[in-house]
Amino acid sequence: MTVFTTPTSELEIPEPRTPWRNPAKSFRTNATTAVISAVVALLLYALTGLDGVLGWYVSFVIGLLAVVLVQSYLQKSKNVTDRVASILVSVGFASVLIPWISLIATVINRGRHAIYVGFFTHDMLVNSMDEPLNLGGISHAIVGTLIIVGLSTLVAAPLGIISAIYIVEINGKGARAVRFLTQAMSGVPSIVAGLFIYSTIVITLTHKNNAFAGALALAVLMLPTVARTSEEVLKVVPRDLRDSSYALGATQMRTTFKVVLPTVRSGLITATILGVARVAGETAPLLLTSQYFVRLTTNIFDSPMASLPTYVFGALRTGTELSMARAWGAALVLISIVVLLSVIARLLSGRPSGRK
Amino acid sequence: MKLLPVSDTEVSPRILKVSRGTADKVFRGVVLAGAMFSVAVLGLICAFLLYRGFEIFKDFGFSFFTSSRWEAAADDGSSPAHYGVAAMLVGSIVVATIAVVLAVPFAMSVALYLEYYAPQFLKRTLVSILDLVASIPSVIWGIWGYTILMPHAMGWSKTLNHWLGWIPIFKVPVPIFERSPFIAGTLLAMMILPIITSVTREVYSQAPRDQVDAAYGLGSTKWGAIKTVVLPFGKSGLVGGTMLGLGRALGETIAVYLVLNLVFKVNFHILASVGGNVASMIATKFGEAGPYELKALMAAGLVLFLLTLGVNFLASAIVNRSKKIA
Amino acid sequence: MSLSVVGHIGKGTHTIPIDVTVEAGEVLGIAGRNGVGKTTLMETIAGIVPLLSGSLSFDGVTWDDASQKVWKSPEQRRCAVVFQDLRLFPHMSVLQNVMFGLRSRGISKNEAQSTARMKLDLVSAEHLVHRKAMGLSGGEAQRVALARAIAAEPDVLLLDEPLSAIDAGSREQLRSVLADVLSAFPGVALLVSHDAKDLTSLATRTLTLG
Repeated sequence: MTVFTTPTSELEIPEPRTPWRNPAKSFRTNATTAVISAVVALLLYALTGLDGVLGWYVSFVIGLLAVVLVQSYLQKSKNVTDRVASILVSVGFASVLIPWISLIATVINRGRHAIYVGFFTHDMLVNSMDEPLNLGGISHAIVGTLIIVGLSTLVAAPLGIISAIYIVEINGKGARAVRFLTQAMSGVPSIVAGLFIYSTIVITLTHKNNAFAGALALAVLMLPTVARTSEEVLKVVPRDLRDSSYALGATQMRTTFKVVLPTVRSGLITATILGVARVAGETAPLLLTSQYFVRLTTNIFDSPMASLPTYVFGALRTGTELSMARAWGAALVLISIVVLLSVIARLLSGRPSGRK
Repeated sequence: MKLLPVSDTEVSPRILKVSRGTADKVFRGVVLAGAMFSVAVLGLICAFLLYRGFEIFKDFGFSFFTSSRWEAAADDGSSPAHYGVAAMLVGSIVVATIAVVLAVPFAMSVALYLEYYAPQFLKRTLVSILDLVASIPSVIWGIWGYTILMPHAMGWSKTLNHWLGWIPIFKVPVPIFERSPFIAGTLLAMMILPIITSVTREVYSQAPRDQVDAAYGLGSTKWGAIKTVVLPFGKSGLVGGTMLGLGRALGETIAVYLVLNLVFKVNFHILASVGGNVASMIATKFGEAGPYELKALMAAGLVLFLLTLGVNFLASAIVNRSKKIA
Repeated sequence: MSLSVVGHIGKGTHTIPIDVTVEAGEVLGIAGRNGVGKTTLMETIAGIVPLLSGSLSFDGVTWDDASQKVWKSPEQRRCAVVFQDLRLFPHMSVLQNVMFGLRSRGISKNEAQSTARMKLDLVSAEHLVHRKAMGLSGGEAQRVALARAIAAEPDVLLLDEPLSAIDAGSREQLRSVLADVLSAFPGVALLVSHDAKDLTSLATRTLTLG
């Protein structure tokens, strides 16, 4: 038997490819490509009208694509499309990060000027938006947001969880319809929720703009988020656990309240927090319902109430340099609250429920 | 003790008629009532907006949809009130379309990057960041869009107009590039990107691994495998996610209010400082509206509600179907 | 009092014919290969899986009848199951677990508590009362599951491999606990096991499935 061999020096041994992993060798090639592209980008930047950081970015992308095309041509590589595609995908991803970073950086950078201790303890009763930043604050807006969002959670969280219980535990004839409608409900424009509550509660019931109406408008928007997340959470409860409760003689009600719900408590809390994060920054429905009030108040029926989003909006509309600084300051507080809530929700849901 | 013969006949599943205790009947009744109440809100919204806006539909009929004029009656009675949402409807659709066209390619690349290109340790972090970005309030996008994005976007508008001005939609009657549908669409694109991405990514992640491996086994490149297996598989997920994004974009209020110049005129010149959408128009006019105009706003709200509801129904149906196949 | 199952049981396409009657005071051992349907028989009696054909009745009352479309929900049958994988409620304490069946039958909290303690005492697990169900060892969990099943004094006691999850040493010990419990048990008991020794020492007679 003859064995044909080829001297290894003449044969390029392909590295074993693990799917989705780049071969280690390609790092050097990639680095070379990047350096050449940067040089090309420099030329592009100098010769064309592109300017600023974005100009840099765009010329680098163009340079990168050009270099890769030339390289592939020189190496007679068959994988041109593959390389171009991976560059386009990565560039697409990187481009998306730019506005995110810009937004966060701007909010922090501009918002910090407005923040001092009094910002959290004063309201705007005796100060106007245009006064120096060491006067007045957003205590009324923070308290207002807490009250309005808290009230709306009291309404929306139980209803959302009940809807989820209906879909998963009862699983009756209407379960699919309820599921579909809650899904569709998550797309109700926020301004429509505001109009709806205005036309029902404000016009017919209370005859005034107040925090109660604002809370109901937010509840309309919060409910689908809570319902959908709770549904996902309840579905994770193993059937075995329910069966073993039934087999010990428990009714469905007992099984739900004593076995199913306690097992997924942290998941349901997560669902509620996500709902809160979803509505805490809503502006449009509050402009129509709870509106804005300069003074810290806890009266939810007889007067309008400030909230962080409407404060930001009001300060923005005043439009002077000082009021803009206030708007950024309040925006920083608002975004911190929302992000904090989302992070807490994710940390809670990251831990498997029922185990510690 | 004897054993029955093994049955040869197919045994069909039984439909159980369960008799339940009183406690459970009450429990199931209460839960059913709660769930029904939750979804009845959709019907109530429709009913109340129709009730409040009915007079407008009666007074203006179909011209409410075809007219672009939005004028309150003059105080001296010299001219009657006239309300029509044509310009705002067109504006909503134009802005939302720009947003979707800009967002989809980026959403696709983010979804593909996260699922197939990102290093494993980064993936989890990036997905959480995406969720965080999805929860940034629209008023904050608005203030950022107004102060940071707009100056840049005006520069891009000028470039577009300079090179592509011969195409009608890039024409600008008056060289003002501020607060245009293009700028609003760009901002909305950034706002709806997270939702499109997360739906698309979820469907992409369910692409059959064995087929992907098969593509590799036949010597395909990574892109080849994505093109032949992942993209066709995830098509309906992408479409569904895009529709959800479109629904969001159609209903966005505050961000559009801040970066779009409200003019009651049908306008397809996307770089011109003329536009508006139904949602931001409602927010603008609400504060100063008299009783009759308020009814018109309710009617406009109903139109917006039905439009977004239709889009969302379609989106949910498509997403559900793509999940079922997956 | 007697329990009788006549008909076909099964999940999906696999069906097994059954014809068995068990009197009160008896302990019916059930043997058979893995996957033959021993657990399915337990679940059918408990009301988790419906009969495919035939009927299931206890003490003259029909619990499940495929032809007459009668089906009593689990809480209406006075059954209690010790599952093979135990299925203690992880978020509850041992005492709460044992009280669960009693409270489900509408017994007051105080009474349920004292009964639960008594039953835990019966299986020599009274020292575990305040522990969380999560952290128990195999033998401890097994005792608690047994106490939980007998707590509400069911008419039918279903034991699915109650000694399987335990190492050999404590197995002997638990077997004698189980023997005491079963000999004092007034109702119908079914015991699934693949261990011949369990069946000969605990069951009054044995049915081999498959």
